[in-house]
Formats: sequence, C-alpha cells, structure tokens
Amino acid sequence: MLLSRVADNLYWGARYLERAENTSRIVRSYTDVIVDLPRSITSSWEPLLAVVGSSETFREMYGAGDERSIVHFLVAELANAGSVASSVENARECLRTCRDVFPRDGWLAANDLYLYAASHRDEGVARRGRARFLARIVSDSRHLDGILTSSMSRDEAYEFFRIGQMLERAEMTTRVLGVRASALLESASAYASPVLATAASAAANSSKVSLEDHDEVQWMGVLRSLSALQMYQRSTRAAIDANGVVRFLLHDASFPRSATYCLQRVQRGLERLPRGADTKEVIADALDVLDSVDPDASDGFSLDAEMDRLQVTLAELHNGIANAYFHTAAG
Amino acid sequence: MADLRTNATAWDELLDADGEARPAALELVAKLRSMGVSELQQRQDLAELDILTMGITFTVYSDGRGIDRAWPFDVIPRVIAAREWRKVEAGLVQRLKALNAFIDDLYNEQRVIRDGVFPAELLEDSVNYRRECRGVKPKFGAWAHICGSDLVRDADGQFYVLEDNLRVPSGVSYVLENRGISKRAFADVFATQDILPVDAYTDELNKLLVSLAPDGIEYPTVAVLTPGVFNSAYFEHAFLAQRMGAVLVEGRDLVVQSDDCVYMRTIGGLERVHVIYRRIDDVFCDPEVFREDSTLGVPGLMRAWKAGNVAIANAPGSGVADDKVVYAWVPDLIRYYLEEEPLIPNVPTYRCMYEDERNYVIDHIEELVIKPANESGGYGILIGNRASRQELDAAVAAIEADPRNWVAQPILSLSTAPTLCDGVIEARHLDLRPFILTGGTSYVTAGGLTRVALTKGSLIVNSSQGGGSKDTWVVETN
Repeated sequence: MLLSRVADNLYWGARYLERAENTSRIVRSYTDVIVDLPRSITSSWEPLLAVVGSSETFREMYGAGDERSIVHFLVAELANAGSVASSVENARECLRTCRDVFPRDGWLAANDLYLYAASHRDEGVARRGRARFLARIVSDSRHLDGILTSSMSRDEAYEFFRIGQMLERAEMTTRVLGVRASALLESASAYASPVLATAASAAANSSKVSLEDHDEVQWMGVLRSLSALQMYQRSTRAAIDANGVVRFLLHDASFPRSATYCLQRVQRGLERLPRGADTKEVIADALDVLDSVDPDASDGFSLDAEMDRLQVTLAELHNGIANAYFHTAAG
Repeated sequence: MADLRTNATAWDELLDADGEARPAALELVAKLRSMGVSELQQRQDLAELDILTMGITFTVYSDGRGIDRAWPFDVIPRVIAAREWRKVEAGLVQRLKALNAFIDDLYNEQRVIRDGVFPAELLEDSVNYRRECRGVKPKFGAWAHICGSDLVRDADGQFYVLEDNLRVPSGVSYVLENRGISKRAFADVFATQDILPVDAYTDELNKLLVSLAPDGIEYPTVAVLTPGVFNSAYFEHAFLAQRMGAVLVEGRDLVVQSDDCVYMRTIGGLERVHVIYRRIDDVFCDPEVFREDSTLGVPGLMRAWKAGNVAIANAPGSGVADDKVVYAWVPDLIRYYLEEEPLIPNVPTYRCMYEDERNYVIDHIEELVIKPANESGGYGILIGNRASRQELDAAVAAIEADPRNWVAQPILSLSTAPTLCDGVIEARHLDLRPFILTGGTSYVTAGGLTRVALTKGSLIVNSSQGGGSKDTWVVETN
C-alpha cells in the first residue's frame, strides 16, 4: 500500500506541474490578447498577477509593474514560489521522492522539463522567446501526462497524481473567471473612477475606443487561456457571450478543463482509494456548491462572489483529502 | 588516432609495459586507437548528456547545503579478464563467509577470543561493537549481508583487498547505470565480444532480502530505509527500491507497535514490514537504544529485530568488522573459521596499538599511508610521501595519543587506466569496489564499481573528493 508521505508528494508533484502548465497557458494567451487589442488601448499586465493570486508578493518584490517585470515574475522568478520556473522545480523535488512508484520514463520527463526550465527561464520573458519557452513547458507537461496515461498502472499512486492535477486545474479555472469578474466590475465603474488597474478599465478610461466593444475579445481570451476556445465553439455553435462561457467553463461535463469535469474526476479518484468513506462527504459538498453556481449571473458582482465561494470550497476539499491520507496517525 | 599512454611506474589495466593491449582489452584498445580523440570526446559528451537527463546524481555538501551533482563518469571502460575475475570472486566469497562467522561469533560464543586468535581488548575498545546485539542469531548466521570491498592492484599486478565496507556500502547503482551508458557509447564493441552482464544484482539482492523474512511469511514486504532526499546516496536508495519493487521509506514512515512489529504508515492505515534494507548507520536506527537525538530512525526498531519480527540488513552491529584494525586480522580469521588459506591477500597493515609496529610506523611515516580506524569516505587519510613535515608531526602526535585508532600501510602504486581528461587521454589511478551478497548463498557482482582519481597523480578516488567512475568490463577471453 502506498505510503502517506509518498501520496502527499505525488499529489503536490501533480499540482505543481499543472500549475506550471496553467500559468504558461495563461501568460501565453494573455500576450495574444494584448497583441490583438488596438494600440490606442493602453494595456495592463496586472490582471495576470491576480490570476495566480500573487499581486501582493509582486509589489513587495518589484514595486510597480510593467510587462517585462510582471512576466519575469510569473515565468522566471525563483523567489516567487508560484512562478513557472519554481513550480517546475518544486514538482521535480516532489517526484524525486516518489521514484519507486512513478514510471521511470515519467521521472525522466519531469527531470528533463526541470533542466529545460532551469536553463532557459530567462528566455521566456521577452516577447521574442516567450511563446517558444511557454509552448515547450506546456508540451513537456502534456508529454509527461501522456507517459503516465499510457504506462502507469491505475493504482493509488496514479489516483493521487490525478486528484492533485484535477484539483489544481479546477482552481485555475475559477481564478481565471474570478479575475474576469473583477475586470467587469472595474469596467462598470471605470467612468467614475480614475484609479484603474486592468486592461479593460484602462482602455475604457483613456481611449475613445471603449473596451465594451472588445468584450468578445476578452471572453475569447478567457477561453484561450484555458485552451477551451475550439471546444466551446464546437459545443455551442454560437457567438461568444458571457453566460455561455461561464456555463461552459463551470458546468460542461465533457470538457476536461471545466470545473465540473475536474471535480467529477476527483470524486471518481477518491472512490477508488481505500477508506473512500472518509472523503465522500467533502467531495459531494464541493460538487453541490459548484452545481449551485448560476451561470446566467455573469455580471461582475455575482461572478466575483461565486468564484470566491468556489475557491473556499476547493480549499476545504484539499484539507479533507490531506486529513484523510497525508497525516496518518501513529495508530 | 588516439594516443594511449601509460604511467611507467604503475600497472595499467588496459596496456602492458610495452604499451600493447592486454589480452582482455584487445578489442577495446583497437577501437580506441582507431577512433581518435575527437570521436571519443563525442562519446564522452553523449554519455554526460545521458547522465544529466537520466538524473543520475550524487549529493555533495557545501555550506551546509546539499547540492545534487551529475555523476562523474569516464567513457573509457576498465577491463578485467574473466578467468582472473573468477579467482577474485572466490576470494571475496571466502572473505565474507569468514567475516560473517566472526561477527556472529563476537555477538554470541566469542570462541575467537577464547581461542586466542583475536585480542579481547580490541573488542572492548571497539566503537562499532554494539552490546545491544549480544545473543542475537540472525538467519543463516549472516550479519553483513551486503558488503562493498575495495580492491587495488599494485605495480606487480596483484589484487589486494584494501578495506571491507560492511556498514552501508554505496555505489552499486552506479555499476548498473554506468553499464547502461557504456552500452550506448560502445555498442560496437559490445557486439563483438562477451562482456559479463551486471544487471542481475538487484534481483539477487531482492532474493536475499526476501529470504531473510521471519518464518511463515509467504510474501514479505521489503522496505529500503533511507535517511531522505538530502543523503548523498539518495539516488541509489530510490534506484534500488524501484528495481526491486520494494518500498522506499524514511524513519518517519515507520512505527513499532506494542506487539513489537514494524509497520509503515500508508494511505490505508498501518501495514506490516518484514524486511528492512537499512541505508542509515546503525547508531541512528533506533533512538530508544542508540542515539536519542536521531530523527532518522524508528523508536523500537531494535526491539522488533531482537524479537525476530523484522529482519534488518545489514544487521545492526555488523560494523564491528568494518574497522581498519580488525582488517589486519582477516587473513587469520579466514584460517580460523574456514581452515583455508586466503585467496586474495590483504595489504600488509601495521597496527599502532602494538609498540613494535607503532615504532616502525613512526620511523617510516614518510613511506606509509596513515589511516584512522573508523572513518569512511577517504577522510583523515594521510599519504606519507606527500605530506608536509607539519602534517607528519601532527600525525605522529595523533598516533601517540590514541594508538588503537590508527593503522598504517605501505604506499601502493594503484594501477592506472587510460582516462579522457580535458580532451587528452592520460593514465589515472583507480580502484575497484565489487559488491558481495551473503545469506543462505553468496553472490558477487561481475566486476564492480571502478572509481578513478581524475586529478593527475592523485590516489583519492572518492566521489565526494573529486573522484570519477568507469564502467568495469569482465571479458571472456579464449
């Protein structure tokens, strides 16, 4: 049977890898959105910090932010525990202690990803090398995922990896939506407030071109940052609109980055573990909370509040899993 | 065309005194001579890339922080003729049988002392003798199940045993990894001759560990106990666990219950462990019995072991025979327990505890290697002809202060092999660490870990002190 300590490391190894991949996707797609906006709109990179929840850390370390410093902080900064480079390093450290249960090829891929990120991280900052660096992180992470899919027995070790991965992914989806919600809020009050922080509001205030006109571009950016645009379009066969995007990203049961898909996968994983009864309630609660989110309430206020509520629920789910499996008592 | 030069004063493993290939190395030397240094360098670079991407590392400590370093590897293999190897193998099996009989005897009847073969005062002084192990009778009478003995070859071409590592010898994973790398680097040479495979080791080790399980356990759970990810040999601990399908545990994963059985903390609750391959020193094993400050060990482990509920390899207390003073007695122990003559000689060893031998050491200190009895990793060794007057005086003072803790040996001219150093092939000194398994039966690795001193003229081969490694080929010749 799997050691508790190893289960803990597998779970976190998967979370860190998923975090590195997600942050890479988001920085990449945000860069694409900014490039698409008319140059008359002053763009801000601050929302990127909000997505990964590290605005405060950033300000303590860097002060004011521009594209270069923010992207450096998110991609290459080793002093930022949430950067792509740090996440990859942490993932490797976790998986290093799981080598007896992890497929050898999987470890080689994780180590390879680490070596690449450690030696090329600075190339991921300037726009010229950014896309290439981020694409490599995403594809290496997918490569590792494929190795596990095709060569790892569906045992407890595998389930802990998947549970960590899916929980992290669900959390990132709620964060991206949460930040979009704040942008909507600021955009709504932008005409009154001169203090502006996001691309949306900055644009609305400082230029004749209202960002309202670019609402579709912004929601498209949300879909892109979760690699969901194509699947959204196939699924809805309609123009991109706020309610449709929120419904898809939260409730579509077949899209593998939707919150519902991720949590249902966590639930299946937990059911396959020993003593599944211990976590039955906490995962059921999390799915209930998710179900209760009204996808049509996509105005800034309610979306913002709903995403906060979901993130608290996900944190409770994490605690439930950790208490059940990672802190086994002496007995 | 690669220029293979030898060191005139030492025995070279690939070339004879005239610079011609030794019979077992004929094909390799021909290959090396035909390829030129730049192609060899390419193969070296590819090998280093393999090591990096496969994450073959060891950890060194610097500024209180462990740094994970790529394993240093020289692409040119060291070659031994199979016919010669079989004699060495027999000698090692013999040696370990005697050493195990000796350890078992020391913790039980102590016949060897009563018969006047081994001095009682040495046992009383031994820092590695664990009184807590008295009266324990492990299966097969085997205590030092896994041993790494260091062999050197002197200028006359004779193999000598330099020391026996009976506590937690490391390096075997690199034997297996080095082979994987050299198979890729010299695929062409492997195709045309018989080089004995080394892969069987982990299977043999697994069989041995399973055989040690308490009676009546059909499918024992085997665990490799590691101090953790910061240990210099962590790579190896993980490697061995993975290859054997064993569980890699740290002390905090294990708990001894009131039934004196060892359990590990799993996601399903506590689960019994039957065999522990410990890779931590015995004094750290159990804070209830040994060092109270040990956070690496498992409280109650000794209790469980003495009750026969768990097997531990190597058995606690085995280190009593891993001592540079005991070493001097090994030829006598072989004669005493097995009634055989030693098949591999010891290096002549002067024991500073005896006045006449001590006086000889002090008078001839410039011609000797001075070693502390109980250090490993090459620490504390002084080579007489390379030390300053000050260092020699300090050594004499240390010997006079604590004679029991020092031994001395003649300075051997360790054998050499051609080694690629900064784009040039030069002779470098090396040794050999084969691994010997002893339980109901015995097993010796085909060859072992060849460690090479990468610094010109240096005799220190330890990887913690700038040593590298080579693949070791045991080659069948007709």
